[in-house]
Parts: sequence; structure tokens; C-alpha cells
Amino acid sequence: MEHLPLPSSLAEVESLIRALYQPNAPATIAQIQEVLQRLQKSPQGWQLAQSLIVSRDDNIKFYAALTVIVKLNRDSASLTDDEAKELLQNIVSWVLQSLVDGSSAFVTKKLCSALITFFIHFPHLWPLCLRHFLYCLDIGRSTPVESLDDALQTNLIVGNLDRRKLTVAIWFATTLVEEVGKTDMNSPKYVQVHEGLIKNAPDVSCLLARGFSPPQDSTGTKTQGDTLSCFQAWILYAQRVPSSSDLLVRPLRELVDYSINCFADEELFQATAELFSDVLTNYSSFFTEAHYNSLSSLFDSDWAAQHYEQTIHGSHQEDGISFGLLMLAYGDAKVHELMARIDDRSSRFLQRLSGLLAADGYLVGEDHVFVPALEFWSTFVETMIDSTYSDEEQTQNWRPLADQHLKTVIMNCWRKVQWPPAEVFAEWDSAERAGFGDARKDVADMLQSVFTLNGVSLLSFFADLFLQSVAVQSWAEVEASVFCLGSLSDCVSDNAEFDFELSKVFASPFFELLGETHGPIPLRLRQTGLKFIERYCEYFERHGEYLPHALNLLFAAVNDPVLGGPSARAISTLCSSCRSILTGEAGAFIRQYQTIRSGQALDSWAEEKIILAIASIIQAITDDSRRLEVFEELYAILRKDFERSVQLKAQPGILNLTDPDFLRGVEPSKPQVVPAVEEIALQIALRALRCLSSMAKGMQDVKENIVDLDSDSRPVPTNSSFTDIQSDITRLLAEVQRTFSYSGEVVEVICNIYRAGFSETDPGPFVFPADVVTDFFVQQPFETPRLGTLLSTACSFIGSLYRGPKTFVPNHLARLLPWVISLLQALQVPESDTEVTQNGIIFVDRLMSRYPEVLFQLQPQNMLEFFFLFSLKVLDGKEPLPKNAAADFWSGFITLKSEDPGLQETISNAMGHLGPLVAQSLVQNIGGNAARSELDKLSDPLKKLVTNQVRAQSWLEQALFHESFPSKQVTPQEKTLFLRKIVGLRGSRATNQVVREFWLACRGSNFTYVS
Amino acid sequence: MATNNTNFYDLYRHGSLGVSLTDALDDLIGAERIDPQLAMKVLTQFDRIVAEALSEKVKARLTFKGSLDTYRFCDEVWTFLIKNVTFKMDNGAHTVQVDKVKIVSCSAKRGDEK
Repeated sequence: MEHLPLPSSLAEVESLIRALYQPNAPATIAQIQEVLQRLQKSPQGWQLAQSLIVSRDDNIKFYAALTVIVKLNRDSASLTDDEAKELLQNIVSWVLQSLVDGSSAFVTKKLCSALITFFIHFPHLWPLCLRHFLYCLDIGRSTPVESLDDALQTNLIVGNLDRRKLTVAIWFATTLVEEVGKTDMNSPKYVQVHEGLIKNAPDVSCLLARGFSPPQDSTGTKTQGDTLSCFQAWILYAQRVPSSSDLLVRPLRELVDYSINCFADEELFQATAELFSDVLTNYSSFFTEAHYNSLSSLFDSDWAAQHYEQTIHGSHQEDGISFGLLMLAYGDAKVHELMARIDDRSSRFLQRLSGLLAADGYLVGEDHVFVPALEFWSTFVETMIDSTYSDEEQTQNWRPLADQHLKTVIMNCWRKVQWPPAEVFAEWDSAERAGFGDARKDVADMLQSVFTLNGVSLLSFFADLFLQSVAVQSWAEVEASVFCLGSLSDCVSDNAEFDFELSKVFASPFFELLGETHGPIPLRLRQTGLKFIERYCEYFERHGEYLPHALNLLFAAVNDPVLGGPSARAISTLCSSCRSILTGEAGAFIRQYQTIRSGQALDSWAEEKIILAIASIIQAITDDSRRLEVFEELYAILRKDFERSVQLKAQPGILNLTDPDFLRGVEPSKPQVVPAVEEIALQIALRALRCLSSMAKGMQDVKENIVDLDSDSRPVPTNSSFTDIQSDITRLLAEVQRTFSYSGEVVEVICNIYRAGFSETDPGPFVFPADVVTDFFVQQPFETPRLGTLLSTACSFIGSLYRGPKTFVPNHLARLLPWVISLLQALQVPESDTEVTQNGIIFVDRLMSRYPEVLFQLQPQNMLEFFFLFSLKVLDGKEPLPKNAAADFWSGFITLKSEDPGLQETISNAMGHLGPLVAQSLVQNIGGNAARSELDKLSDPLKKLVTNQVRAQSWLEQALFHESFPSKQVTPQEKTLFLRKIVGLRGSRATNQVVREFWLACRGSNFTYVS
Repeated sequence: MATNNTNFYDLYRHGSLGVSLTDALDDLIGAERIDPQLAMKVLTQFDRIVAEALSEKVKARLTFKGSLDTYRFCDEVWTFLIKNVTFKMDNGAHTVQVDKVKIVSCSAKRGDEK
């Protein structure tokens, strides 16, 4: 940008300032700003301000005030006390001048800001700034600060001020507290400023008392509004002052009664309500008991009754809910007293608060007060719970009355959570719909709290409401009752009294109602009903008599476009939970699944859930041969899908989209968009894979079996009964992977299928023999997509091997290790695939921790050498996750020990060679190369090095004084001190802090900004 | 909830978002793209925004059950150690089981603001 020359005359400066406030191109404005800022910052800035302030143009006067602020902030240190006092007098005189020469308000306000800036820089020269300013306003001229000794008392001074001067004084007091409040009150630099401000509190009190009773003219309300804002700013400041001194709070408290009077003025009501709500919510201790009594009386007045009625029946959109929020803020501040007192006034107040949950209009969109009111009642319930369980000795005479209020609250909530008619809901926007849903969740939360107090009676209450609503066919009420009952599912145990209440619902025509697809039953009710069944799946375990009804209902809904997903999920939950009582029905379930499949196109996700459900039932069949028989029946269906997908890929001509089996490869939501045949084939395969994965999950045992890690005597699972089927599965998986070798998703789902068996302890069709799994891995070339997922699965496989018999583990590891390292070797740089790098290192780390001999017997030897240097390179790199894995690996390596003397010698030799390199890498990181977040992780190998390797000190010393050390900010003495501390701490936790401090020292003071 | 002019806890700086933000700020300072004062302001803003977002915007919920192993209340901070915990997500889609959970909770209003 081209710089403009500095102006040579005042007239030129003025013309630049005028141009600054005119519409101009951004580049022109930037140039003008640049030249004016240069002027402001120059030594002539003070004179410039003085010359500009006498202009008749408001913009120029404003700029003059701004220049004073800039100069004070930049050059105040260069002023002597006398010069500063002279400056103060000048600014005050300019403020006074602005009051009489017709300057705009923004000029006067800016000059007031300049005065505040002066106060912040010279608090010792202007301790009673407000009183002095008021005095100058009163006498109409600027006087030295010392003349304040002859001034009248502040209340008399403010009594003399006319409306204009009073307004300016209030602006001054507001800006004063706001600007000082922006400075750090804990910084020594500003301690005097804050102390000085607090000394002004009595004068503020006098000023605001007058501001609340201004001269009676047309602008009186405006002054009172300014006074309220100023009062609020001072209270907020007082709240932040640690252990607010009486000097500040007492004078402010004297103003509360004045401010309460502002409620009566309709124009001030909003601002006053906001002030009181804010202080009650955030600083309730500011008010004294007398203030609370005044507020309590106010709430009991006719005036309050009128506002309350308006809140309940008025339009929240137009009139707001300030009064409601004020009541709630008061309630929140006095919640314990309101609960514990049993007097009429408290009861009346609580009654009104519960009434806030019954305001006109639908939740959130029309009724804005419900959600904050519910928040209050949640607090109320929590308070009741606290008192009930902590004051056991005391009589709880408050409880009946509180319960009565709670009953009203629950009833009001039940009414409010009822869905509106579909045509009303259709008109809502997305925010209103989401808000309605969230408010229902809030109600559910509160009901769970109430359950702690009321227990079974709450369940009974909603069960009865359900029955009553069904009787009168009020579907919205039925839905609300079912929703409320469902919200309590997490609280309800398997106690008989709870089951009794739930049976009232399930023994009613509940299932018949929900099964009516063509009739008056709203979709919402059916949705909520399905969720309700799912939530109480444990109930069905105890009451199998209702299970067929529930499952029939759910299966009937599977093909519904809206209910399909929820019903499939409910089927899965219910079948998993009740698997042992459904084993006899496994065949029927499979036939049901086939029927659904052959009908309409079933959603893929829903199908997976149904398969999961059926598989979990099959898993519970105790007879092995029967289990295998049913398993094969289900598997055969999926097997055909696999074959079809492979066949279609090979022969695209066989595609027939009228056949539901081929339609499975087309997105059901977009049947008109037909993808390429190859894509359809892939989708059919993927869908079958995901179903097989669900089968594998469903077949997982839910019993908790004991795993004895040290035992070697556990027999190898004799999964001979599954051998054939396992061979078939692995052959199919291999064929699908070969056919769709480009698909990463195929690899991922295959990995999931293998994973499902890793955690199993008993034989099963997906608990593949270890050599089968090992074969699967080692056959995967570097070109396989999602290689990172494969490696991560291999890591899980190691964990599973460690849980099993130990005999063959080394053989499997010895086959897997070269495969893993060859994949790492194929990477051009470690960063080219961070997932492969990370999982590869984790794999070797896990292997080394239990079978170090496998690592050191790796052939060819150069593979091992490659890996060590690779992981050091990763430790030096910038990728956080591989770096963490490398830090873990080296932590393990440094502490590696073996009882075999030969192996121990190999380890020691390796450490002798690698130790200096590890030390160098760690020191480079700690010397500033590492990111801050990596320091704790990197401290681990450092601590291990210090405690486990006798030569650690010399290795670290060499690294610290090596020419490649990344920082020039630390001296040799600091490095030596760091080393001494690290060694002295002997690997204790304090090392992390020392590392952090050294890293900071190496990076420099610019990095100490984090607390 | 703390108000506009009040301080916010800096405990969320230790979460993954805060840690990543600090690393990013370090990188910017290292490259002399910003000065530390700005970084400090960004972190202060982060403290405020995280607290507000968690309080106002987060609507997801979960419930959990477990065995309370240890609890303490020290310096206005509650700490709970819970073992064998099962988390149930809001939509009931799935559960997550963990061996141990530590919950550290502070009052929404800081000690100096009550």
C-alpha cells in the first residue's frame, strides 16, 4: 500500500478526518487511517488533540478525544504528574464545553471515555474521580483535584445537577465501571485502579439515587433507564470482586429499593425485570432478606397478578416472558425456603410457578416460559431429594405440600408434552420441532428425578392415566402417558410391584391399538409404543406371555417406511434380551425373515438388526446339533446372496431388477436411479457381508466366562462341529474379497466378521481357528484397501491369542510379524499412511511385550533393523498418533527383560546401539520439536530410560549438547540442570513437569501464555 | 452460569479439543503468524464458548449405571470414581461398557461468583 505524506497543516488534518467518515473506497480509508495513526502516535499527538477539539465539526471533536485516548495508552508514562493533572483539567473542561456548545452525545461520551482512560493510567492523581467530575459539572468549570476539599457533600452536589449534567454523570459512572472492569483485577498493574474504583462507590450511590428520582420532565424515564444500566454494571463488577468489600456492596445495596420502584413504570419494567433476574440468578447474595421480603410482597400484589395473567394467557412472541423469568429467578434463589416454608405466601408463589408450566400455546414455538419453568422445577425436585435424604432426623412437615405442588407440575408436564395435531405440527419450522422434542426430553429427565421421591406411585399414576385415556380414545393423551412411562424405564427394577403397574398397560388393548395400521391411531403413538416395548425388554423376560404380542406387532411394522427402523431395533433388543425363551421359535423367525425379504425392499439397516435378533436366539439354543442346523438355515440365505453377487459381477447379463434378490443392490429410497451392474453386485455383496457380520455379533455369548490368563491347561476348543461351516465362510469371504478387491468397505466388514470371534471363549461358527485367521492376514498384499483396518484387526487378534492356549502363539506371531513389517517397508515414508504406521507399531509393541524372542528371531535380520529405525523416524516426526505409538513402543523396549540369558544379551546389545539414538530423538522432541500435547507421552520413555539404563545420563548428555539440538534459547547450564533434575527424579511423576518447563524454556517466553 | 463479565473454568483446555487448539496456536506463534497475547485471548474465548455451548447447545444425553467406588468433595470440586459402568445412549441404539470412569464436576457458578 502506498503511504500518504503527513499533512502539513491543521486544515489538511481536518480534511483527512472528514474524508475518513465519508463513504470511500476501503483502500482510501486504510490509507487515511494509516496517516492519521502516524500523526496520533507522533510526539505532536497531544497538540493535535488540543487543536482539533475546538473544531465545530463533531467528527473532528470525536477524533480529538480518540487521539487523547491513544496518547494516554501509548505515552502516559512520559507525562510528569503536573502535566497529567493539567491534561485532566483540560479534558474535563472539554467535556463541560461539549455540554454547552451543542456537541453531539457521542462526542461527550468519547470524552468521558478519555477521562476513564486517564483514571486507569493515573489512579493516584484522581482517586475520587466521580466526586471531582460531579463537582466540576455542578460549578460548570474544570478545577484542580485539590479544590475538592472545599466542595459540598456529594448528595448535595448531585442534587444541583440539571437533567443534562445528570445524564452525563451517569454515562461517566457507567463507562468508569465497565472500562475498569475490563482490566485484570489480579494484575499488580491494576490493583490501584480497582481499589480506586471501589472508593468511588459511595459517590456512585448518591448519583444513582438521584438518577432514580430525576427531574420530572419528559426525559425522566430515559434517565432512569440509564441509571438502571449503570446500577447493573456496578453490581456485576461487585460480583467479580473477590470477597466484595462492604465499601462497595453496602452503598449499592441502598439502591435496591429505588430500583424496585422502577417496576411500576411500564416503560422501565422490561429493563428492571432483566436487572433483577440477572442478579437473582448470578449473584443472589447481593440482596438482603429485606430485599427478598420486598420482592415477595411485590409478587403477592395485584400488579404481579396482572403480569402473571399476561404471562399465562398473553403472546410470548409479542409481550415476552420477563415477568415469568423474574419469578423463576426469585424461586431459584429461594428454592429451599420456598420448599421448607408452609406459609400461604410461599404456597401461593409455588402454585403460580407450577402454573407457568400450563401457559397457553404449544411448547417452545408459542410457549416460551415452559422450558425455564421446568428447569426451576427440576431444581425444586433435586432440593426435595437432598432434604429428604439428608435431614432424616428432622420432621419433614413440608413434604405433603411439596408433593401436592409436584403433582400439579407432573400433570401440567403431561399435558404439555402431548403432540399437536398433525396439521399444526406440519406448520412448525425445524427449530420449533427440535425444541419440542428437546422439551419432552427435559420432562423425561425431571420425571426420573421425581421417581427417586415417588417410586412406584409415579408409575402407577401414568399407568392409570394411560388406561383412562385409552377409554376415552384420546390418542395424544395415550401417547403422552406411554412416553412418560417409557421415560422411567431406567429407574424401574424387576420388582413385582413395578411389574404389576406395567402389566396394567400390557394387559390392556395396548398391542391391538398399536397394530391398527388403518384407523385413527396416530403414527406418533405407534412410534412411542414401539420405543416403549424396547425400553421395557427386561419386563418381557419375566412376562413371556406378552412376548408373542410384542414381536408380532414389531414384525408387522418392519416394512413400514417410518416405523421399519425403530421396530427392527426393538426386535433386536427384545430377541437379544429374551433369547433363552425364544429358542423354540428360531425356525419361525427365519421364515418370517424370508417373508419380509421376499416382499417389499427391506431397508438394509433394519435387515441387519433382524438378522442380529435371529442369531442371538440361535446362540441361546443349548443343543449343539439343533443350533448348527438352524444356523445353517439362516446362513444359507446369505450364502445365496454372496453367490449371486459374484455371479452378477462375472455375468452382468443376468441382472433382473424385477427380482427382489437383485433389487437388494439398489437403494430402496431411490429405486428409479439404477446404478451400474458392477455397483449393484458390490451392494448385494456388501449387504450380505453386513448381515453376516450381524450374525457374527448375534452369535456372541452374553454369559460372562472366567478367563484365566495364566492357565495353559484350558483345552483347545473342539469346534469340529463348525469346521465345515467355517471353511465355507472363509472360502466365501475370500472369494468376495477377490471379486471386489477394490472395495475398502468389503475389507472393513470382513475384518468385523473376524473380530466378532476374537472375544469368544467357547467354540462357535465365527470363532475361527488361529491359523485360519493368520492365513487371512498374511495373504493380504500392500495394495489391499484399508490396510490400516487390517492391521488394527491384527492387533486385536494378538489380544485374542494371548487369552487362549499359549502353545501355538509364537508360531502365529512369527508368521504375522514379517507380514506387518513388510507392509511398513512398502510405505514410502511413515507419513504416507499414518493408520498403517500407527497400527504396525502397535502390533510390534504388543508382540514384543509378551514374546520378545519372536521379535529378535525375525528373519531376515535387516527387517528388525528397519523397524527400529522406522519407529525412531516416527518418533522424530510430526504425526501425533504414530508418534504416540512409537513412544509407547520405546517405553516397552527400554524396560524389556528376559529370563533367557541369551535373549537378554541380545536385548542389551540392541539397547547399547539404540539407546543413544532413542535419547537423541527424545531430547530433540523435548528441546522444542514436539508439540505441547505430546510432552506427557514422550516423558514416559524418558523416565524409563533414566530408571532402567545405567548409561542413560551420558546418552542424554550427548544428545543435549549435540549440535543438532533444536533450541538456542537455553544455556549449557540450563541443559545441565535439566539433566540433573531428570536423573535425580528417578522416573517419578514430577519428571513430566520438569520436561514441560524445559520445553517451554527451549521454545521461549512466547509459549508461556497457557495457564 | 457465569455472565458476560466473569471468568470461566479453563478445565476444558485439557480435553482433546483444547489440546489440539493449543497445539495449533503454538504452531501459529512459532511461525510468527500471531502473538502470544492473541493466543491467550483465543483460549479465554474458548473457555467461554465451550462452557456456553455445553450448557446451551448440547442436547444429546446418556444415562449410565455403575458401582460408585470413591467420591470426594474438595475445594468445590466433586470427584467420583465409578467402576463397571454401562452407558446407555440417548436413542437407545447401543450401550458402551467400561471398567472405570472418573467424573470431575465443578459448580456452574464459580466460587467467587456465588
